[in-house]
This record gives sequence, C-alpha cells and structure tokens, in this order.
Amino acid sequence: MTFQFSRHGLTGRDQLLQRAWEIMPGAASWTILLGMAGLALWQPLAAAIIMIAFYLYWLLRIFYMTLFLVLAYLRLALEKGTAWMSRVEDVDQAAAGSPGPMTQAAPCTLGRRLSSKIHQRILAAVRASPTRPPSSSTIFHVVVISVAKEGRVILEPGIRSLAAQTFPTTRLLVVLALEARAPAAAQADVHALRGAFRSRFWDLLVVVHPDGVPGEARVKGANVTHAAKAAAAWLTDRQIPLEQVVISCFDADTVVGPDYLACLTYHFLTCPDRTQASFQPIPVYHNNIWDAPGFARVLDIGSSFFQLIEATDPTRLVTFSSHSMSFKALVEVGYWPVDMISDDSAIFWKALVHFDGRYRVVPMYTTLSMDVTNAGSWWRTAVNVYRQKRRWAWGVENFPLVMRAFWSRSPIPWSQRLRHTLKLLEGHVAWATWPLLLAVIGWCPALFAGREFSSTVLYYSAPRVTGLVFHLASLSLITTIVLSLCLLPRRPARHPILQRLGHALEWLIVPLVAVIFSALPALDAQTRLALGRYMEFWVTDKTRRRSPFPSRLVAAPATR
Amino acid sequence: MLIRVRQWVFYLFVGLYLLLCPWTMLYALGYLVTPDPPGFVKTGLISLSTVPAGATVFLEHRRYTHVTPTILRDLVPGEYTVRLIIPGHAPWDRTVRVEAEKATILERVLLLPDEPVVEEILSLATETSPFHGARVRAVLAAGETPAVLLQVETDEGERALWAQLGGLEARVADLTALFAQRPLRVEWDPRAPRDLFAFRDGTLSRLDTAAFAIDPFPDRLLGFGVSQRRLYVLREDGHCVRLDREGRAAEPMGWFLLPDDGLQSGRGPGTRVTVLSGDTMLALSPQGELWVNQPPYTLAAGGVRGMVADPARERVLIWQRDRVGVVAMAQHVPTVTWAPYEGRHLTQAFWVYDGSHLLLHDGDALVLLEWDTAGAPRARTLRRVGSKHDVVYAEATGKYYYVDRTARRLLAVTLLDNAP
Repeated sequence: MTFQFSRHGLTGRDQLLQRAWEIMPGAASWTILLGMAGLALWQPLAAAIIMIAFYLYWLLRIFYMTLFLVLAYLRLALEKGTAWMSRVEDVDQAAAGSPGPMTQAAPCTLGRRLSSKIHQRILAAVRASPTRPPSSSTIFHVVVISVAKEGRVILEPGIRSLAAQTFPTTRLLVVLALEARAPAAAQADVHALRGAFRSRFWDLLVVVHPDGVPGEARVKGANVTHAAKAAAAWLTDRQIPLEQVVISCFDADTVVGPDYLACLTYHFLTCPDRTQASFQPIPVYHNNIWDAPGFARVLDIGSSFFQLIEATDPTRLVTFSSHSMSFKALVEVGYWPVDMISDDSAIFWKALVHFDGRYRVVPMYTTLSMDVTNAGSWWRTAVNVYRQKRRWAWGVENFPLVMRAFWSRSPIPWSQRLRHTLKLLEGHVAWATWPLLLAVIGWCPALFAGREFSSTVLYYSAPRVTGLVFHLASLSLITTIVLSLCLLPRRPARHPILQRLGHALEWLIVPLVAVIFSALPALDAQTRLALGRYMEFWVTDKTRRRSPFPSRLVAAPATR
Repeated sequence: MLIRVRQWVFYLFVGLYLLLCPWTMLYALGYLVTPDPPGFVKTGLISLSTVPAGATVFLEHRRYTHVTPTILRDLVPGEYTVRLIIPGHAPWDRTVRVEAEKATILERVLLLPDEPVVEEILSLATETSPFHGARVRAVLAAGETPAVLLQVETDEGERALWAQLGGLEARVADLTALFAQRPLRVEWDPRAPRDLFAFRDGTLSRLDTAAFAIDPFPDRLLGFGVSQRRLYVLREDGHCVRLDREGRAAEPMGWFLLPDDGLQSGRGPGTRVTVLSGDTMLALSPQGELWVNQPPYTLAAGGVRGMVADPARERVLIWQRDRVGVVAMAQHVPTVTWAPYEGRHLTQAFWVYDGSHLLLHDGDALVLLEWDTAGAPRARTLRRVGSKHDVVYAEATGKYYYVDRTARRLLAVTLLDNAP
C-alpha cells in the first residue's frame, strides 16, 4: 500500500483525520483520569466498584506479564553462551541439503539441550522450506551509529565491540552518522575513531548529515536515513545486492556482545521472509548501571523487562531503540522517517503498512547494552530521565499515522489491524494512566467518602480487596526483583554486597517512580500531541565514570 | 510454540477475569451465595471499635473469634444483639438493625470500668498545704485544657488558685493578686494558658499570669470569647472584632443581629462568643439567646444555658435546663437535633471521645450520653458529683475533675483509657 507516513503536507480530510487521531490517545487518558476522579467525588460507590474491577484486571495482567517475563528470561538464559557462528554454519549445511552432524559438541545441561532442540527444529524447517536461505558467506552487515554530540568515551566501546565480532568483520560496514551541528570535539573524536578502527572492518565511513535540510526535522531518523542512503550507494558501487545486507541502527552508546552479528545473521538466514522483517534484540542498560541513581536504574531495567515480555509475542512485537532489518526492506519503505522522533518504532509501522501487513519483527534472545541516563547530579539526572521517558512516550505520534493508514481501505486483514490498533491505543493509555490510578485516584473514593458511602458494606470491603490485590501483586514484584538481580552484570569490586542488596530494595520505590517518571511523561507527551505542540528532539545526557568493559576485550586483529 | 502457549494463557486469564471479577464485586457489595434456596442474599455488616480496645464480641449470644476493633461481616439483614465484654469493665450491649449493603457503625464505644479509679489531684485539707482549711467556691475551666481556676475561700478572704492538671498531682499557683474583684467570667485559650481574660461589668481585662500584670481593654463590651490564640470581642453595637493577645490588630468579623432593645433590657454584658470556623461565630447571651453571625442569625430565642463548639464537625453542643442538643452548622439552614434525654437541671455539657459521647452535669449527677451511635443512644450515670461546683472534663487526659463534698479536694476520674 502506498501511504505517506508523515503528518506533514496533509490537506483536507487527511489533515482533519490526522488531528482527530492525534487527539484521541490524550483525550482517552485524560477522560479516564478526570472521569475517575470526578466519579470518586460525585459517585464514590460507583468509582469504588470500577476501581475494584480495575485492580483485579491489573493483578491478572501483571501475573500474565510476569509469567512471560520469566519464560522470556529463561529463553534468554538458554541462549547465553550459544556459539552463534557455529549455528550459522549449521544453517549453511542445512541449506545445502546436508543432514550432517552439528558442528557443536553434544549439549550436557538441560538448558543447552533445550537450546539445541530449538535449533534442530529451526534447521528442520530450513530443510523443509521450498526456498533455501542464502549462504552466510554472502551476507553483509551495515551498522549505522548515530552521533549527535557524543564523544570518544561513549562511542569507542561500541566500535570496539563491533571489531570483536565472531562474524567476519571483513563483511561489516560501520557507518558513523555524524550531525553537522555536532560540537567540534565530537567531530574530531569521530574522525579519530575512523582512523583508529577503519582497518578492522570492511570499511568505516563517516557520513556528515547537513543541518537544516528542507523537509527534515532535527531528529535522529533524518541523520541515520542520510547515512543509510550513503551506505546504499557505497554498496551499490560494489555490486552488493541489498537483499543480502542486514542493516542495524544503533545509538551512540550501544555496545554488543561478540556474538551479536552472528546471532543476527542466524535469525536473518532462518527467517522465511527475511526481506520483510526486522530483528529486535533485548536492550539492557548495563554500560554504566552501577554509576546511575537507583530510580534511573529501576526504570531502565523495567524497560528491558518490558522488551523481554514483548519478545514472547512476535505477532505484535514492534521495533524499539537499537534494531536491525533487511536493507532491501529499508530501501523499499523509504528509509526511516526524517520528521519523526520515534524513528525506531515508526520504521516498523511504516514497513507494516507498505507491505500490507506482511511484515514482522523477529525477536532475538540476545542483548545489546546501552547507557542508563546519568547526568552527573541527582537532580539533573531526574530531569533528563523525565525528558527521555517523554521522548519514548512520544512514540504515540505513530498512532494517528497508523490509524489513517489502517482505516483507509488498507488491504491489511481487519483482524490484524484491529489487534494492532487495540494494542497501540491500550498500550499508550495504560502507560499514562495506570500508575496514577493505582497510586492516587484509586484512593479517592475512600478519601472523599461522604456519610452515604462510608455507611455501606463496600466502604469496608474495598480496602480488604485492595489489600489482597496488592499483597498478591507483591509476588510479581519479588519475581521482578529476583530477575533484575540475575540480569544485572557482575558488580565491580568497589561495590560491596550491601550495595547490591540496596539495589534490590530500590524496587520498593516503583510506585513513586512509575508515577513521576513513567505516567507523567507519557501523559505529557500525549497531551502535547493532542494540543498540537509537537516535540523537538532532545539528546539525552549520558556520562560514564569509565569504560564499561574491562581491558580483556581486546580488539580483533586487523583484517586487512 | 511460545505463541500458542501465550494464546492459551491469554484465554485462560480472560476466563479467570470474567469469573473472578463479578464474584469479587458481589463480595465487595456484600452479596452472599446461599445454597438453599440457591441464589444470592444481600448482607450487611457491623463495624465495632471500643475504648479500651480488645473487647470480646458476642453476637446473638455466640462468641465471635475476633476482638475489637473488628468488623462482623456477612450478616443477613435483621436485628442482632451485640454484647461487648472486657474484664474489669461493665458489659455493653445493644440491639441493632443490620440492613442489606449497609454498614451499621458501632464505633467509639466507651466501656466503663467497674471500679473507676479516683485520684486526688489537689487537697486543701492537707496540713502541709499552704491553703489548708480553704474551701472551693467555684471551679472555672476552659475547653479541653487540663487546667482549672479555683476560687477558694480562706480565713483571709477569697483567693484564686490556678491548678495545672494532667499529672498525679496538680501544680498550684496563687493568682489572687490578679483578681481584685471576682469576675463574672474568666476564660483562656487552652493552647496559651499564660493569658487569662476576665470579664466584669462590660470590662474585659487580660491577666498575664507570668508577669502578674493586668491589662484592661479600653472599650466596653457585651461579651468575648477566646479561640486559637485570638481574642474575639462583641461590641455593644453587635459587631464582633478579632484581636491579638494585646488587644491590637483588630479585624472585623461580622456582626450579630442583636435585639433592638440591646442593653436596656439587661441583655448583653457577659455574652459568650465562640468561634466555630473561620467565618462562623456564635454568641450566647446571659439570657440564653443564641446568635450566629450569618443567616438565620438567631438560633434560639432563649433558654440556652451553655454551648460548646465542635469545629472539626461544624456543630455546636447546646443545652437548656432539661434537654441537650446539637446544632449542625454545616447545613444550609442550621438545625438542632435534641437528644432523647430528659434532664433535671443541666448545668454543663462536654464533648467526649472525639464528639461521640456527651458528658452531662445534670443536677448532682454526671451522665454519659452516647451520641454518634447506631440504635437508641443510651445514658449512663457515672457518679454523683454534687451540684455546687462545676465539673471539668479534659479530652487531653481523658479524665473528669470535680470537687468533693467537703469542698476541699479536687478529684479526677478516668473516663477514657488511652486518651486520644
């Protein structure tokens, strides 16, 4: 379907529809919040009944999410230590029709056996597929790293991690997408990094994105699109077919494990519709996790958990933050939007609409690491975290575009459209309202109870029900705390065990953190969209005390 | 496979929600499933709390598992006899009606000790007392303050003694020097007991008990009141003004619609002013007229002997000779609710236990009357305290104080265990 995935340049009916859909999420959120508050004042009995129904729904929902969080975490743990390049070789053999033995040694642990079993099923599907995947030796990778103002301290660990890949770096093109408005020091660092690491890759390009290009906003999407186009031209000059190229879009602080590209290659090869798919790893924020304030740490771990849960439902998974996709698909859909802040999720919707619903995101049970927001002081970090979460919540800008595309004679099956619509709307509205309902508005009926309400059975039963719900919910919280401790990287020597215990106790501030740094930013973003006050891109401050990786990560030998 | 698992789990949770949600709502609303006949019955509950806590609960002569404070749930509508027993205290019972989906509230039930502890706070009979041989003529108190002003008669004449209550013994100070003449009325702010305000013949004076200084106010007044460290004076023209403790910084506070004949009829001097809320004030004349500084202006045309404000609930306790009632000021038109109690000679009344009970000085008896309670309020006679002297009740200590028959001892009796 041909659809202009932008709110700019609209006229007439499209413009009206765009505004109407922009208003809808904010209106829904405010209606729920103000409606419940008003109902608590005017009809506390009815409000209390509705809140009980909501608490029960919320409890079952978090049990549901916790269950899949555990399953996803177990899957992630299963794949930890997997030699992905060996599996890629197995895929090559399977594609060649060879039923030969796997290159890996027989698994000994239950986890390894399960992982192997999953791998065998995938290989069986590859063998049974009428169209065989290409050989891994014909697969190329392009990694675009956007640089707005970050310096060497932030960029170098990521580039080093790419240089240390098990996937042959002779087929890895790294593109540093540098904004022309970046500070001179940052620009100097970028060029210095190019000089230092160019020989480690197929090539390392620095593509400068000019400032003030007509039709573009000052957004990351414009920068990486410009770089991707340069990369496409570079590949075309070398007669590399784009359907054999996987492009990854990374933030400046993204650091990957040595097997990341091998894992990506594996998923690319084993995906039947590889040229109509994105590939989403699990983002973690371990680069500087021990240096950030507790509330920032809790929030970002929560984000990782959310992505883990989302990974268990690939039919509704949407790309987020650093992600990968077929370069052919990227070109076909017209690259990342150049006028939207949420380019990471927008590219999925854009592709979904373009391919009439025949586009999906493949979850990869491997992690890539980024920075927790840390601006030096507690207060500045709090402000920056708020702004960052608001920018994430600005993903609601996709809603009106997706709605216009979906409900304008789209060939996408209506069930798929409905599913995505409900998830998109419910997700954003819940983001903005649930913490406030739970922490604030839920208590209003009891607080504002007049004599009429305070002499009812419900007035005395509601606290009992609420107490039971929260007690049960604490089971989910305990599970989350345990998983967060399992997911956290090994602590540096200067952080004693007591401090780790303190990190576990940080989760007790979730109710407060959820309201201030999750619900309020989401409500802020939705309100801005509803009022037509579109946001400009603001780059999050990230600082590190030192490199997140120990010196044992030695760069791979030069490949030239 | 995980997708299929997720789908099945999703449907399971949806089914669980569809099952649990209505069941939870019905439970919260008080519905109970009855096996025979099969169906639902709407239930009510009884909420119980007592002072002291920990009373054993008997419901229809069957002992309940929990002690107070507790809630008796899942009660089919009807009448129930509730009995509360705690060792060392008189049992308390009440027949209440439970209605469907309603809570019958029996909270702040006062369980009275079988043998109330009587403490001697002050004795003028002790030979070592500097006021040995004196007799108490009058007892004056102010609101909830645990302090009293005693006017005692000695061989040398009248003396004014200031007694700070609250401990095992009262601390006594002689303030006679501040009282050249016996005042018609003395009041003070419980939170600022350093300053006493004495009123006599239309003249108000501030008595500084620390500096032993008398500071008369220049204007003639109809009456005054003290509230929240501020002084409220009623001028002869019916206007009320708020002053600081030195009598300065006058702020107009509205006016009272006094009868046209004003002072000529003998009304006026000695009018008691009390503040209910920021804007609402009441005035009680010596003739028993009760006025308010907003419509309808006159709450009672006469016969009211006293009033005690309950600012937290915007109501005023008033009493006449044979009845006591509460004026609800929060309503659009203030209304008086009279208690089903027939008194003989009511002279004093107090709010007790957060306004849930009334303590009445009726003739020579002290009577405790339940107020905010379900069922018919019950009156219990606590003690014979005589009618010559006023009784003092202090919510802060949970005790009432009275002068014994010899007029030489000030005694204290605990009414509230664990005073709030």
